[in-house]
Amino acid sequence: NSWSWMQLGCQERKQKRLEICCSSSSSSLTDCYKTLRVQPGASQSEVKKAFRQLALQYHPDVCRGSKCGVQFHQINQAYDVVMSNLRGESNEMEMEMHEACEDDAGIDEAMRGMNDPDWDLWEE
Amino acid sequence: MAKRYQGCAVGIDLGTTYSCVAVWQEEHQRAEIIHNDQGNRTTPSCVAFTDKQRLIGDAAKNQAASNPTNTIFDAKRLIGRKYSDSIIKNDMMLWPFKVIPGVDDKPMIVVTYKGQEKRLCAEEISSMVLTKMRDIAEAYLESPVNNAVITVPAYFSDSQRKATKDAGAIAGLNVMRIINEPTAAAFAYGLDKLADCKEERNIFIFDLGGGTFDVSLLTIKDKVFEVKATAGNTHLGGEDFDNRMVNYFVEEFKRKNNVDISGNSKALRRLRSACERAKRTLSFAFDTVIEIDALYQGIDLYSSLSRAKFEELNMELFRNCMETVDKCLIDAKIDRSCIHDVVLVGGSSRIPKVQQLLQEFFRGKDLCKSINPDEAVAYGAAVQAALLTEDIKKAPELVLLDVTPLSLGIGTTPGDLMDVVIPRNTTIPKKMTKRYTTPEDNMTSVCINVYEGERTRAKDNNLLGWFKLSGLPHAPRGHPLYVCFDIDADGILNVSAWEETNCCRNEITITNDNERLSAKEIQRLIEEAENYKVEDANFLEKANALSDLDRYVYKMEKALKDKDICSKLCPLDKEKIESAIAKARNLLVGDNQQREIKEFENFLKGIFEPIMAKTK
Repeated sequence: NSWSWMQLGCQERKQKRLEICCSSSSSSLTDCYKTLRVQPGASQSEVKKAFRQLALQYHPDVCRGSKCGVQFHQINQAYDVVMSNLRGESNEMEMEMHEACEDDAGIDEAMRGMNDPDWDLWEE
Repeated sequence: MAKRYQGCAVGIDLGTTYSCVAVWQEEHQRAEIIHNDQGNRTTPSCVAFTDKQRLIGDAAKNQAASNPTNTIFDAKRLIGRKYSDSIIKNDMMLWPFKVIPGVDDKPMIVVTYKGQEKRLCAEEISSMVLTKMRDIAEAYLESPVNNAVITVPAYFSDSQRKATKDAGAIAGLNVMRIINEPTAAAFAYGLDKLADCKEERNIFIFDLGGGTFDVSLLTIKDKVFEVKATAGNTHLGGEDFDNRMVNYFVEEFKRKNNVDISGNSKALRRLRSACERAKRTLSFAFDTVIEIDALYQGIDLYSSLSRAKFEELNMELFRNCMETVDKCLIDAKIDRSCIHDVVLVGGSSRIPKVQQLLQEFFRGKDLCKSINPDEAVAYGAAVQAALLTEDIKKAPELVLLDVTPLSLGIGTTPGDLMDVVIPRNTTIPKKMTKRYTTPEDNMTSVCINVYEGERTRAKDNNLLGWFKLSGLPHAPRGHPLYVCFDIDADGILNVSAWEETNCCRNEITITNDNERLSAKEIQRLIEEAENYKVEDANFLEKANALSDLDRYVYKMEKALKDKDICSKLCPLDKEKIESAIAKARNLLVGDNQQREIKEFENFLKGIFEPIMAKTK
């Protein structure tokens, strides 16, 4: 998984999207927790706190790296998924969210980070 | 990454009736409201055209009664709307100026400027107000101002936002961001409250201004301002209260005197000004009188109005406000008892009945009046401008997480139903993908219509744009397609669609729909704005020269009356001076549009000064 996303080309990218849409939702929820840098089973207030800290770091208004727009999309998405899961909202909604969440992860840079056990380093 | 801006940046609250500009002051760690050339901290959003010149702000509003058809206000009620919009149809009956349909059903304002008929769009009028606000800021900062954050009502549609952005471009400003008025007000409020904010605080902003009404619910903690929900009405405000009063007095005048003033724009303008004053008075007094001498056909209007009657006239509108408050709380899924602060913003939030109803709604909670309701929005915009400016190192560390005010989606068959992809009150930036299927066998192309709004039927919502996805493979109905909505921190929406086996893909950035000004058109309007500026400058120069001439003539007349000087003058010189004065007098009273005033002044000096030199 070492090629960059740009080199994937349009063709691959779309296939990738398709692939992702078929992936199971349980793994994506775990990924969302990872994105928020909280343990699965964290309380609502812990999730909120984590989200705020990430927002202060990665919101496009404050973050000056070229990746932060992409990252904030994922953070925002993950927050939605985790929060609606914690609130016990409808399954259908969740599925839809997951789909979208996964779609964002289709960007290789992030994907690599998320699958990496040392994902904290992904910041660099 | 968001663009970072260099140089001076200001925050502008472009209001329906009044506008306000503020700048972040790094050394004081606070925003400063900038006063205009009249010393006022807010400037009327009013532009007037006369035979001689163009006026903006206080000067325009002050002459409104004598020049009603060429004094334009309420451009914000026209911006980004269509001429056929029923709201505009209703407003037009109350406006003294003329509005006609232009290209693509765009409303155009007709004015007479220097004896010529001109057609202006709402963006142009707003750009003139923005130019004025920029001039005010430049005078105060003593440096050029190119960047600005402009605020809009939270409930403005996409086309209204974009039209506002265009107005900024015509005024020659880089619009760094368009932010929502209640959110900006929350910045102003929250900045002070942050220090003692240990727990999550739910803040409810009630923003009732001159023309629009917005409510927003925010959660503030750890320097993050998170908008939870927003709701509003882009056509409800102080002007609507004035309208109800005007109608009431028109009826009363008709009943008492048997004359109808509704067709007379001058009389209506005078009545409206009196009603606006009365409304303000009724915020602290229980009764007020309205006196207008010779309102129409020499008949005076002399009447009184009690606060109770004012409230009765507008009760329906006040109730309307409270329904919107309720809707916002429902959307946010937050109970009214969980609100920590209810913040009043906008001039009309001073109305006692509004405050009372709001307080009752929040079960007797004290309303927060610590911020200036007229200035809070500009203050917050200046804070946001500072956050987006590279040069400011010590900007407050804040992050604003705003939401989309309206749902975004696409039209689906059968029945042309709106299918929401990004629901309203979703935190932006956001990216959502949804799977759709083809409705028929062997479709080779599908049309994707992008809408904004809350109505079930797609075509009842605002069409933002559309595109075609063609080259689909032959397949039975139910063939999957994907549509992705991507909205960035600036609120710019990008929609893309592709087919499952990726044989085709298409996308659209919703930036330029047909009712919006094209880049070329904006360029033309920028040039036109420059022309207006040059003409204004010329007028000012001429007016100054005229006044110099007047002063000179006065000086000469005084000299002639002076016995000491007179005795030293020979009769020939005296005659010369007298004829020069007569010439100058003629010049001052006659039509001086085409003449070169400076030349005459020099000519006068040429005669007068050598003679005076002789007398010394």
